[in-house]
Amino acid sequence: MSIKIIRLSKTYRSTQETGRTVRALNNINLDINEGSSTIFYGPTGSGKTTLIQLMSGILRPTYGEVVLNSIHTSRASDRNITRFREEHIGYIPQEILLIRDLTVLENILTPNLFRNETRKALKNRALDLLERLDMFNQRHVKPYQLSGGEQKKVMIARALLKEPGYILADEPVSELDQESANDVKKLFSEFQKKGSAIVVASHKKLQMRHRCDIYLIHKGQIIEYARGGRR
Amino acid sequence: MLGNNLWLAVTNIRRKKFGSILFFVIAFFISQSLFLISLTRSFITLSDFSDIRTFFSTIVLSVLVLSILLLIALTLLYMNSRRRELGILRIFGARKSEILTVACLEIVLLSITGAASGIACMVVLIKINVLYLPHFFQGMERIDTLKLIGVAGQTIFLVVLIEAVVSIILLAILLHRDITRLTRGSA
Repeated sequence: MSIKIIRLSKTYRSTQETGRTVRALNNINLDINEGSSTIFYGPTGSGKTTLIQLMSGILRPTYGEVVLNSIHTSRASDRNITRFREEHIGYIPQEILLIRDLTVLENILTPNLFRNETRKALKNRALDLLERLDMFNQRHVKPYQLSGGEQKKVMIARALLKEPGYILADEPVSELDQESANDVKKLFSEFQKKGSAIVVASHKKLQMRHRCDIYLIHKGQIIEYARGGRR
Repeated sequence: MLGNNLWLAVTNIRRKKFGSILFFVIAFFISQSLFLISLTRSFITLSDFSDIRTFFSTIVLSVLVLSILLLIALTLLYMNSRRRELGILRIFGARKSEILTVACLEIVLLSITGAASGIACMVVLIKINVLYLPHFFQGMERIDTLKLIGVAGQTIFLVVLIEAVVSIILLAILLHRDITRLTRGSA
């Protein structure tokens, strides 16, 4: 199980000037293996979100390749990429993506109900995750009644429910208080011990509980690499 | 899993009251028109007066065509209002076919109940002579219950088919968009 990124570039059509393209990522090479931990640091607009979305198969590369196990996202069918995402990827987006008129518990369960698992088993795990994230009492509340940090925790629980092989988290703790951020990091650490690869994009320094590969991204390029974290 | 899909469909029906009522009401009216057409073709001889026959056919066909047009327009609006939700499901790994299956279940449940209510209502109206016109429903008394159930079943099947085909085609077109485009816009 691995995600390989080979000479990856991504360009967008500019929203300001017609006909002009903007290069969000330029010649990125990376290997993400089972049980590893990776952090992408970089200022806003450096390409972290695009990289995470390319790694989850939501976007397709303009040049180069993202290989999810053996699936080449530049030419694989949408069905194969979606299946990989359903089975192996727990994606935590930067923006709040919750279904407005579903409760917290229903929001966590709904996207996971397409998997081959009973609702009862999923519900038990969801309640356990909510308990761990100190959100159990809000399980029947609608998302718009929650704070930004609480909404983020719901999205974290939703991503972790399937016990994914890869956790791709875009600014997972930026809106959380210290205590909640520690709960999330602890959960990530536990998942890593079970074999999940953790990939976090963040604009500010994170103190992780485990060893990790740190990449500094600037203007769509990796400009620095370091090993960090504590044992 | 069918159990999970059914739960999702029922949850969607419960929370999307506008859409649910829409599909129910349209099924209600389409079924009445189709039921009357089936009855007149199979069992009932319409009045010998050609003017009445033309008037009747025009009314029934107009209701049918208008209902289908309304179905297409409102389904477009309804599905578009759900596009962010569809995008969220797609981002978290729901396949297009899985989303279509749940949507199909929703439509089937709503159109069966809508069509059954529409037909029941029509039978009651005919039986209690509310829809009675001289020589209009000649032969109604000769239809036995079993035959009536047969026509009703046929009609319900046709209504389900019409609603399911229209909404699945429109939903499939919507799902063809990029995931990131789906998640933008209305909740």
